Amino acid sequence: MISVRLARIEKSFTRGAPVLQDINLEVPAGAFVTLVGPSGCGKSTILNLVAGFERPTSGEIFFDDEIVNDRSPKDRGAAMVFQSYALYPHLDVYRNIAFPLEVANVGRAEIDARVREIAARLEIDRFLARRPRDLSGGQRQRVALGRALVRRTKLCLFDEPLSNLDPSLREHMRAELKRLHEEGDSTYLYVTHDQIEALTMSDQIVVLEGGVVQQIAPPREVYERPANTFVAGFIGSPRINLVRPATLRIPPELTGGRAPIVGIRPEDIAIGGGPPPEGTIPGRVYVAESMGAETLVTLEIAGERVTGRAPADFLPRSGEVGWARLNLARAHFFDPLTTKRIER
Amino acid sequence: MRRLGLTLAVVLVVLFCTGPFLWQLLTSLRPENELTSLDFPSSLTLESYRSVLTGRPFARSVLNSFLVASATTATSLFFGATAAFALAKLEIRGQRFFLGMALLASMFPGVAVVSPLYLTVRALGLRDHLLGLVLPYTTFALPMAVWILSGFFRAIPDEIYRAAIIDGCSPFQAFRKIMLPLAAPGLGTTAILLFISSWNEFLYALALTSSARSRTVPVAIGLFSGDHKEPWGEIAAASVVAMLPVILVALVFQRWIAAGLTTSAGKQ
Repeated sequence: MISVRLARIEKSFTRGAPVLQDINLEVPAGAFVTLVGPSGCGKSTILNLVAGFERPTSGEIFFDDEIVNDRSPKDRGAAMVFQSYALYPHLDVYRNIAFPLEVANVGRAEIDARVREIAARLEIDRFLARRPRDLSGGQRQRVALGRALVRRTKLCLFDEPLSNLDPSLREHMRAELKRLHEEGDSTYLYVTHDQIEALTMSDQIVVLEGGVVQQIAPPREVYERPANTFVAGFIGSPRINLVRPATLRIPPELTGGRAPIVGIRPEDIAIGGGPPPEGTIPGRVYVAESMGAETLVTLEIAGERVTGRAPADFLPRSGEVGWARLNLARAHFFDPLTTKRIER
Repeated sequence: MRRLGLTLAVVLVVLFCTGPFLWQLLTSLRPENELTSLDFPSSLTLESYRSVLTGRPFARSVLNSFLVASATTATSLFFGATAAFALAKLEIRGQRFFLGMALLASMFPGVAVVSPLYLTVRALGLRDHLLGLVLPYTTFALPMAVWILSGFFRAIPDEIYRAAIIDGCSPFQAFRKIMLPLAAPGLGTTAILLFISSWNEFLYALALTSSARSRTVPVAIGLFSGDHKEPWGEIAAASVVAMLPVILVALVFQRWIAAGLTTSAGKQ
């Protein structure tokens, strides 16, 4: 286990705007930290800086208490899983996994034992003699994991490793990765654009946008107390509703007389049909989507669209009359100018 | 009907390409008195081959050509591959400039530098010496190798190189263990091209050699002609013999190309 700390990191390439601005973040030893954000937010650049492929324009990178800015990737000793898997096409699965150990001059017997152990753990022991091109995407992904984990490094870096898998396999591998992290004792730094991966696996989430850290917090907190409208909109599915307070008929005394942006998640809005009961807001159905266990209904209220949940058997047509009942205790308020969260 | 047309077209193209070679082969097997005849020969004979291989120092020329072409190919391939890898995958200032210079150098008309090269080679004491051919040949083959190979190295995904580095390789280890095997098709292609161009080279070989000791095949054949008659049979036989090593080399490197096609790094 090793801790990683970025202090006042700036990165800009020769041409163009800065990619990273004043990045300060800490990955505690043994933690599973996820960098999440839309493409171009700088998350992969952070990973490349930690791996040593790129140098920061300014600022320091610490491994434990040592500055590693000048260390080559090889000397930083981190393992990495790439988005494209980057398997060696001319080597079979066994030699792919054994490769880092061979380069490190580990003894033949130990290599064999460790390769077979990790292959069995990842359920790829039947494919050891195959070439990467003869494997499915999921199998290749496991080989890439095996090649990283067989080294038993103190730090593992993941660059969107699940983004090329189909959804059911991705779900399965999310759980597997979480297990592997709990079983081993290395620090995981994980990059993804998929907020579900961030929520399900990590101890800490770092939300990035435009090269700036938006929030660093555990998954529950990022979800329950988003630091600004970007985080609120990016984390959580279906997406949070961000509307004017008047639309939801929020009494001014609740917002302290100001007119903030109101954020309320679809699970905190109950939707029904027919004449609106007392204390609900009437609207017209824009669209209803059956999710199996429930129906997601989007209403048009005062020119804005608000999505909420309804029972599975409520399947209105577009244009029908409906109503929404809000759980205002769980609404978030954001400053309309700074987009920052307003505590209340 | 369309199939028939296609077959006919293929046959025509094949005939067009192999025709001169087949004519050459036929000529080399004709009895001497029928050399200029357009009819089919009345009998086939190996007389021309016997006279080329025993009456002249031609075997020596074939050996010279083989040594020069092999040395040129090997040297250019080694330095070309390392340079191309560095230009394609390492962070080097002015990569475009270097590549541009390589392209420029490989397209430079050789005839323009014959006299300065002659003086240089003579000053080095390498005139009429095999090394005196390998050196100038390499100066032309190397830029070509760098240019072609850098394309092949660039085609290997960056992530594969990074994976090798993360797995603990030094850049040279990554080159040797991962990049070089993946560039095998490029190496094979380049090797064939370099070998053939060095094998066929006439101008420098004529200018820089003066005796059978270092003469290469094209020059040797060029000097077959006597004062009174052209020994067509011998020229044809020599040409056929001269082709064999090239075919052999092409077959050997073809295997690299084929092996590379099955392990290519592109879409996995």
